[in-house]
Amino acid sequence: MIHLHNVSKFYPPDQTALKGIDLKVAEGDFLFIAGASGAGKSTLLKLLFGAQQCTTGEVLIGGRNVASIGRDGIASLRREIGVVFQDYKLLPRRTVLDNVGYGLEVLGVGVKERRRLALLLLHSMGLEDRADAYPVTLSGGEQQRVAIARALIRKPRLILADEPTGNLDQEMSRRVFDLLLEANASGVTVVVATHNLGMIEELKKRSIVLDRGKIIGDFSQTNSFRGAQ
Amino acid sequence: MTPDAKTPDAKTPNAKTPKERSTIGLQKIWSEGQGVERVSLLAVFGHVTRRAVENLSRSRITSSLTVVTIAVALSVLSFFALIVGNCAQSVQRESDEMMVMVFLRDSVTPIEVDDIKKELNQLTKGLTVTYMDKAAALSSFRAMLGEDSSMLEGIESQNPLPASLNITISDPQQADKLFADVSERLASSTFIDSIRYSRSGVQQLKKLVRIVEVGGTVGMVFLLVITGFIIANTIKLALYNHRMEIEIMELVGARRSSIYAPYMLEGLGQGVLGGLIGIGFVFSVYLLISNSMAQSELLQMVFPTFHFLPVNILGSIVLAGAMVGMGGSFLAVRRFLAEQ
Repeated sequence: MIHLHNVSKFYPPDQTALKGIDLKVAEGDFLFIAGASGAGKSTLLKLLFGAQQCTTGEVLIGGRNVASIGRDGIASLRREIGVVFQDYKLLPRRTVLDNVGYGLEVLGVGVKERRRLALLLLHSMGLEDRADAYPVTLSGGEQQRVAIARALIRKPRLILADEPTGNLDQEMSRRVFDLLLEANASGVTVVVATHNLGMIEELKKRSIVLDRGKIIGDFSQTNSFRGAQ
Repeated sequence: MTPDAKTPDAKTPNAKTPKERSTIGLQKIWSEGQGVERVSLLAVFGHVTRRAVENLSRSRITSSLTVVTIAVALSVLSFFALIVGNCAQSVQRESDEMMVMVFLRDSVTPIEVDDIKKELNQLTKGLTVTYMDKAAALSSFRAMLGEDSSMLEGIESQNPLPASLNITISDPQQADKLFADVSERLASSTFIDSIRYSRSGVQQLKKLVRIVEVGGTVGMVFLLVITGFIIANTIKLALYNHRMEIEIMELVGARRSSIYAPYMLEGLGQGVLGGLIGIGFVFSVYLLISNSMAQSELLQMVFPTFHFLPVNILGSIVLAGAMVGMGGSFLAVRRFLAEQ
């Protein structure tokens, strides 16, 4: 599903965000990306959905080279990916219902259907009473859940989540990871960048650790992340 | 304190085993969405229109400012077109008065006059040939003399002025050729006394027509560029509030067309509305000038007649508003997308 070959990313004048990253993630895998702030987690995710291009190396998603598929190709790729942004990126002038439904709107689904499905998902997530609210009136946790709902409204091939529990309490974090695990159980590849080491330890999924742009550890499900630390 | 997995209300991450994890039935929601039909083009157009109207209504102040800017810019353009158009008409009218005059001998009969007229009309298209008999020539001369017409007393009974055929041509650029053709055709005619043509006057008129045409076109193009620049920047400022929305749409995978379309439609609406308001404003100015003409000799001299802009120009102004509105929105969205 994901194949990064010798990927580096430099920012002018001399900042190295990622250096020599080699990574393979199979279809249906669940991967944590851990590391301190500035380690390159968010940059790595941005390369995966084409928000940025690597300076050197290759980023292949589903066999497609992100650098050579052009704008339309990247838009098409993004329609197959559910991205949960660290800063939510909700449409400020649209209601919660329309924000969640936007994940279907980009696929060309009609307004009635996408509202019906969005309401169904919001109901399942306990957010149905916020359906008509605008993002600015929501708490950070609610905005995060709405962003997750938008990513999950249709079945993506890949979910990329950047600190999806950064603003959530423990119980809410658990519910968010439950959602990601449920998606993963349905065959969706999930990549999560997080500081939540407790959750990494608990879920016992594969995790890589970044430090100053390099992978310094790649821990399998059986190889305890915390133990390896 | 170490969390105890056996405690019923434990809320730590270790409190649940994977088997206890909650699910919300994602698979069921996804399967419900799988059979959903994609919308028709008509529905897409309806959606884009609704989104454009929403954008307009949610940003009333910036939208109004954009419309006002377009209206002001296009009313300046329309006013310029009004003045240039009427100047061109005045010059054209002057050129219509420039004639090749064929003076006839007194012996010519009405049948012979008709024959000559027919012959002249075959020369080229756009000719107007009018016959002025001796009495009409004298009357015209008397009118031209005005208060000095008394000097004609004593010669009126003999009327020395000849009858004439006055030829005007709609295109003053063709005046030289007309004169040459008329001279050639009538050179051997025994009915003709002389042929006259005010070459210097026509040359000056041709220059004036050219100046008005070129100057007007250059001025219009210049104004159009300035107008487009101002409007595009105003729209860009107005859309600045939407840049985050545009960025999010792109990040979520929206097609470029669906990102551009609502904003371009919004620009189109603003442009058309601005164009109509601009035309309305210039029409008010036109009424003001028209009503003032009776009291102003200067205006009467510059504009013997004063007409409003023709329908094709009005249509072009509204079209220019629409194009600039759409183009400005397109450029603004493209700029925001390029910044991502």
